[in-house]
Amino acid sequence: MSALFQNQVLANLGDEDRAVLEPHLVAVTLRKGEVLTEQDGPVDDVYFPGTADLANVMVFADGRAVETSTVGSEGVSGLAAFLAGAPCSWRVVVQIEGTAWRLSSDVLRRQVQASPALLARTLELTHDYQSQAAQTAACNAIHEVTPRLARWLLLVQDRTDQTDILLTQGDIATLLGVQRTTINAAASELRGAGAIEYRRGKVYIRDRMALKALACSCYEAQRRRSQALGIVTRFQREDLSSPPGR
Amino acid sequence: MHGSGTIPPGHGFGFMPRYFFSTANGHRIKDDEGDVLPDDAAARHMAINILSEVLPSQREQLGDGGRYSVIVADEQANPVYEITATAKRHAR
Repeated sequence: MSALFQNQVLANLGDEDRAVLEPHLVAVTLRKGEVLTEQDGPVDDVYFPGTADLANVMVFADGRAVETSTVGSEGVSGLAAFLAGAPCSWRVVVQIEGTAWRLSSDVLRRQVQASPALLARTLELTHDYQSQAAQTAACNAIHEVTPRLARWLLLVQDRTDQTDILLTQGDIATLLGVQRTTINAAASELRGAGAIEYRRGKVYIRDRMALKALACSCYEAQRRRSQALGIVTRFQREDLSSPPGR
Repeated sequence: MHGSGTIPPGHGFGFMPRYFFSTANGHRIKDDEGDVLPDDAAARHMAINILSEVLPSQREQLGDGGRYSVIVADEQANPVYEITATAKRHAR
């Protein structure tokens, strides 16, 4: 059964945790733009993405919604609000459609309380999302748009396991909190360097190594921290095994 | 002031025009998508934001002089507004 889970948390559950949680897991297909948890709303369910990618966004009264962190196949939504039994501080919205597993927060919370291994994993993920959000906050304040875009594309690719990223430049601009035309200019630079290609509504990552060379240091800093927690995605594993200087 | 061009034409009450924002630093990057905005003032405001966001990445090009422009056009491709940063390096 575990082979069926594209989500790393579910795939790596201990036998006992799996036995308890599996009957409650509901396979769902998430559509782009779907709001899973509202900002300051209750976390009734959590989602373990497979091919879907979720954005944690801070929503402003004027309608703008800027991404603070992203949740993909490495983890689960709703952390750490559901552990605290507190409302979620951000909106959880589907940024890339795909598969996921839904689980009642109550079921997961009960099992976390019963299972030290599951508690440890959820705390590690909480820590990883917290450091991702902190890195992003600092990055947004200091770095230019082109390296930020390169970093962000790598982050999304890592967490979706896809080479094609089904997002328009307008979507990306909203998530990064800049104007669409600014993303257009930055994407044009990345394309000029041979790192990406894009057509309406889709970004293709052509050369991950070129993209890494153009990304700000935030990507590598965060990747190392995640790796130390055992959060390593398929693309990151391939990076590590590819010869240096490629 | 929304960053997204995803609002469909004719959304909301009444007509909201679409504006296109191209950028130029020698070669021009055209905008095929455009943004639906309330009026020309909103389009000017957006152009100024774009210039301020893009300029830091033009450090190399502008360091020795040159210019960077954001050009706003309406749906008939008529220019509406243009804002340009011009650099000049003085001999010393």
